[in-house]
Parts: sequence; C-alpha cells; structure tokens
Amino acid sequence: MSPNVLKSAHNQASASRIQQMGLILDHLVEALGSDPSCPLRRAQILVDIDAHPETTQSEVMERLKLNKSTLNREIEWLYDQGCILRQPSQQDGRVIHMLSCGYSKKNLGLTLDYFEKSHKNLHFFLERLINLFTEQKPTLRDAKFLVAAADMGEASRQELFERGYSGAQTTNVRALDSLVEQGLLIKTEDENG
Amino acid sequence: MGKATLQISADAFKKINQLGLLVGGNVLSISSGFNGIGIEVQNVINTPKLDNE
Repeated sequence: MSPNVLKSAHNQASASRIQQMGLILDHLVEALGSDPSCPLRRAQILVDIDAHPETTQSEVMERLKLNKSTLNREIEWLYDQGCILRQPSQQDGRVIHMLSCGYSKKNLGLTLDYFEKSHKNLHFFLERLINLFTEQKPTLRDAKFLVAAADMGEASRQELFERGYSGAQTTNVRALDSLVEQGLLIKTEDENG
Repeated sequence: MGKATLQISADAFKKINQLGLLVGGNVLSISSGFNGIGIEVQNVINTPKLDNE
C-alpha cells in the first residue's frame, strides 16, 4: 500500500467529480504496484487486458494501436510486477494468453466502480486524459497533479505536493515543471505579489 | 515579492471538467469529434449504461 492514503469507494459519494478522478488515479496506482511513475498508457494496457480475459499481445496491439516494442516492454513490466498472468494456448503453444490477476484485478475492480463497471468508459477516460498532455509519456503522478490543481484552483507547489504522490522531491518538482512547460499549469503570484 | 502559486490553465480545466462527466455512470453516449470530446449525459437516476460489458 502506498503511503498516500488510498480512498475507498465509500468516499465516492461524498467527493466531487474532480475529486473522484483523483480517487480513480489512486486505485490505478495501486493496481500498478503502487508506482505513480507508471505511464497512463500502461494503465490503459492493463485495463484492456482486464476487459478481454485470455487476450493475446497481438490483440492488445491491434486494439490500442501500439507498436510491438512498446507493448513488449509494458507487458514484461506488468508480468514482472505480478499484474498479469501469462498462459500458453492449449491449441498453439506459441500463442500466450494474458489475464489480469491479484491486487491489480482487485484495484481495477474498485476503479471500475466509478464507471458502472464499464471498461469501455474507463478506457475512454484514460485515452482522453493521455491526450490532455503534450509530452509523450504522461504518468499517473502527472495526472494526479493536474486533477489536484483543477480541484484546488490556485495553489502553491507545496500544497500540490501534499495532494500528489509521495516520492523524491526532485521527481515531484520535475513533474510540476513539465506541466508548466506544457502549458497545463500557469505560474501566478498571490495578491501580495 | 508575493508567493508564487500555480493554477491550471483554462483550457485544461475545461477538459478535466469534461472528463469528470465520464465519472459516476450517468453517461449516455460518447463521441470523439474532430475538436475533442462529446459526452451526452442524463441527469436522472437509473440512467442506462453505455455498454453491456
């Protein structure tokens, strides 16, 4: 469990939609080995595998329009972290079927609670979120900062750090700087400035 | 000198708000148009799901 307190679905009803987006990101972080540095695209791949039990790498590649080397890398990561199982096909040993499992499946289930269990809506949510960023590999950390900024209005860096995920200070600073460079966050000064 | 703060851009805020419409399950339909996102929502209880997964 990450040091950042994971909100349960019980908080869902009392949170605004933007706050709920933060909770969704929290569950996705948990589904991905408590690693907020995971790219949003990796979350999307995991969601796709969860939506299509026993799918193959070729099928995921086709559905998500990803190149083979990128997908290979992500699948390896998901497997190494225990997010997915790989099983050889009984008909053709060269074909490997994939399934989400364990803590990943459980946390994806909690994520899907926000989308009436619709993988399609969750997929679309992630796709649109990824497209908000101009950099190539936005992470769950980046998304959390953006959602926190949307919820808070004007905020100091420290306040945003407190709403984001724990991690090295340099990592968080770099993430905020990147959001500023992309024009998603704007620097301001308070009324005394 | 005042305290430096950060604020989400107006465009990003608008898009985040649009994404918020996907959360909570009152989505009727989604379309991905040439200029972003189209989401039709229904503000009543027991709204239908987008799909039957």
